[in-house]
Amino acid sequence: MKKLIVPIILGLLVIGFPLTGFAQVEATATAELVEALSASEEDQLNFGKFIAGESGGTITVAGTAAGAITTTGTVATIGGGAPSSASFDISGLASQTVKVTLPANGSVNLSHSTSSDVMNVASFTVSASTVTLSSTGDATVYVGATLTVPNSGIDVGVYSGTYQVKFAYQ
Amino acid sequence: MKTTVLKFFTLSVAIFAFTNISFGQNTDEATASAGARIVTPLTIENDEELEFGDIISAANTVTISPAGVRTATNPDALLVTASRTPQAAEFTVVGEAGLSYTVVIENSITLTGAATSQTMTVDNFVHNATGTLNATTGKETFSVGADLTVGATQSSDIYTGSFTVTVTYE
Repeated sequence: MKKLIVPIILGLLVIGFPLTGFAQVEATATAELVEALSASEEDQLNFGKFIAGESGGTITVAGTAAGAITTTGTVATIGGGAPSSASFDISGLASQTVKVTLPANGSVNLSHSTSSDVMNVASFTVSASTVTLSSTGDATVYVGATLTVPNSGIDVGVYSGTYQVKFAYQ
Repeated sequence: MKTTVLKFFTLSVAIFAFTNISFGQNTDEATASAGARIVTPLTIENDEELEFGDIISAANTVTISPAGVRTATNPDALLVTASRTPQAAEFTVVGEAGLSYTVVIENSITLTGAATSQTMTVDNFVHNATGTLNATTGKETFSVGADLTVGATQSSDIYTGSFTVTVTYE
């Protein structure tokens, strides 16, 4: 009887050891998908109403919330016309830095509503060339620029054009 | 009555005698060698998680190499942030010094968005294990990379999933 019991006990001991010829582990994989940046123009860039004067000059709107107007040459502002800096609302990933790229000089012209006369807009400025989005993923930037008025020979009337501002995650 | 009893005894003696002969055959001896090698059990630990980092929502295949380098078919959608640095998963295998082992990783897993329950697939797992435990320490550390497929209309969210790595003595 004793001889029979011994092998049974050994058998139990062997089975009791875990299988250790292999080992497994579980690992986590993670990715964060971020909404694409979006931007909307809240206020248009507007140089207001002005008189060109004899030899023309420039009119500048500051790239700030206030959008202060300054002129050079014989250009003189007159009342009305609602001059304003442009404002853009940006939305994207919270706390992320966004780089603002403005149009290159020479690429933007304003065209007369009926005639073929154009005026160039250049020297774009922005309130912040890099801006950090808030904890809710929002930010606002202001864009200004300088309009060059050739001279008194230019047609009077309303001039308008478009320009592109690029926003990109940094 | 007496005669019957005697016959019974005779029969008993004969049986015992046969039994003795049969035992006698077991007394021959021979020597054989027996050998066993007890090896350290294999274990594996997950040291670092697989992290694809921040990605802007757009159709894309994002790859993390075992070296931890992130590439993509649409690299413009890769976003570098301070909070989420891409990295390969890292594992440490411990076992018997100098022994070989194999690594098996799942073919494909699903990452699920925490908020949206949308899914993305991770596949093409690649590891850089040599498959041989260090001759002195019995350890090897290796890294695992994979491909993440992002859909064109994938919602912004944090996506997680898990994968199993199995190592086996060869």
